[in-house]
Amino acid sequence: MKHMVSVFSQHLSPEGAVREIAEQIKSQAENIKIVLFFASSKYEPLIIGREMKKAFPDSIVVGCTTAGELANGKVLNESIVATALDDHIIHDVAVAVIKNLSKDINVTEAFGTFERHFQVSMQEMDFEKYVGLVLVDGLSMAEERLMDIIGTKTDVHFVGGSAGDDLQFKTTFLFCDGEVYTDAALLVVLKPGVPHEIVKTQSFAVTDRILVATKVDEVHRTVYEFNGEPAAEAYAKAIGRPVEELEKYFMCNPVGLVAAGEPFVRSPQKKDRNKMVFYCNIIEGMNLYVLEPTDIIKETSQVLDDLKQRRGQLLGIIQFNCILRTLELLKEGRLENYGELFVDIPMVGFSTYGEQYFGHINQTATMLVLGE
Amino acid sequence: MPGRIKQIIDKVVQVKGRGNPILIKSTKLKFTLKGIDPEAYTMSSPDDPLLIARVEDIARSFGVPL
Repeated sequence: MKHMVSVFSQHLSPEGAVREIAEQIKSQAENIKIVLFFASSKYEPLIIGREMKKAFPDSIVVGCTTAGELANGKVLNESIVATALDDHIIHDVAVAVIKNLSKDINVTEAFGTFERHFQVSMQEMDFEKYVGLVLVDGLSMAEERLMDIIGTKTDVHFVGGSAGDDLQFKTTFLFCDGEVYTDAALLVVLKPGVPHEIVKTQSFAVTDRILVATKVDEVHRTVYEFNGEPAAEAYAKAIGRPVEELEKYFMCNPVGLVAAGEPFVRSPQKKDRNKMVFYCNIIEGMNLYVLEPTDIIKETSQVLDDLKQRRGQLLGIIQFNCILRTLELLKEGRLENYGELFVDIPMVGFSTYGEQYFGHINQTATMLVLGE
Repeated sequence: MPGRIKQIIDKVVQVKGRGNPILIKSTKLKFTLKGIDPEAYTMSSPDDPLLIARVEDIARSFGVPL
């Protein structure tokens, strides 16, 4: 039996897909502590949520809808992927739902659930013994505030992604033990029984061109001015392109908040007259560096090589990969190459509407890596 | 007296970091993501009242007494 199993199904019906998922997992794993699954929005969410819990009544079952799925060596669409983690790899786990994100974000109840379960306060919880997963409604625009609040109230590192809906941008769903939520976030605290680490990788080089956000609307992720000039004009000048053609360069020239030498990517979404709207918020006064693209396949491969060198055998990876990276790889015809990087590691993940690690980021892959 | 902003940041990093390099790094990163670059301030940085209020708010949110 395996400690971490990753499987997928492309069965057309939600019941059939869950049946195939359950058969594959049950034939390879036992003593399952948690089942994590990511499903295309083509499946009826109420049925998927209910059937997955029915299939694994004795385990915690959580997941979300996606903008594409990842399992082992494949980058998928219109599928459901799942992983089962046994009691060797995960000694203990608890899950909590934060509802009504658009009204207010309050983690007190969720953190109370974890504190009662693990018998330790979230302030005191040892970040080396515990790790958090976070799945968020990808259309809530609440990720920054949620991650900020989590980060001020615990040292435990949370990694995760924003749920998708196959680029329809209508509704995303979260699944927790048979229930289905929107406008919500799921927090999972894991106590791994094996060494673990969080990886963040983005394929960009930091240039020396700086844009200072001098006038912003943080709530709406909109920048009015960079360097005291209309945002679009200043950005155009910084990337050396005509302002009328800006949107063509958004994908390859996002901007980055640089901390500890590495960028936390903020991707432009659209130009609105002279304003620029981003996929995550920018705070007034922030120094942002123009980024230049590097090779996603090459850099991700280096990250995995480094992990294998340091950790030896990897038991599994849970991956949150930005949909913009997926689209870039699709455009380059290299989706298969990306999947193949993970062919020898049990891995599940999904194409997200944003990634979470300390904050909310874009054009990044965040991963929870479990090793022996 | 200049340097108040750096003093507050240093206090938060000291309390939250507890001497652990990973916690020190993550506390500084959390400051950066909140829009305050901890490396940008020195003991010569002027005492901008608005910035002082912001870093005091951050210290309070971390539960660090000043």
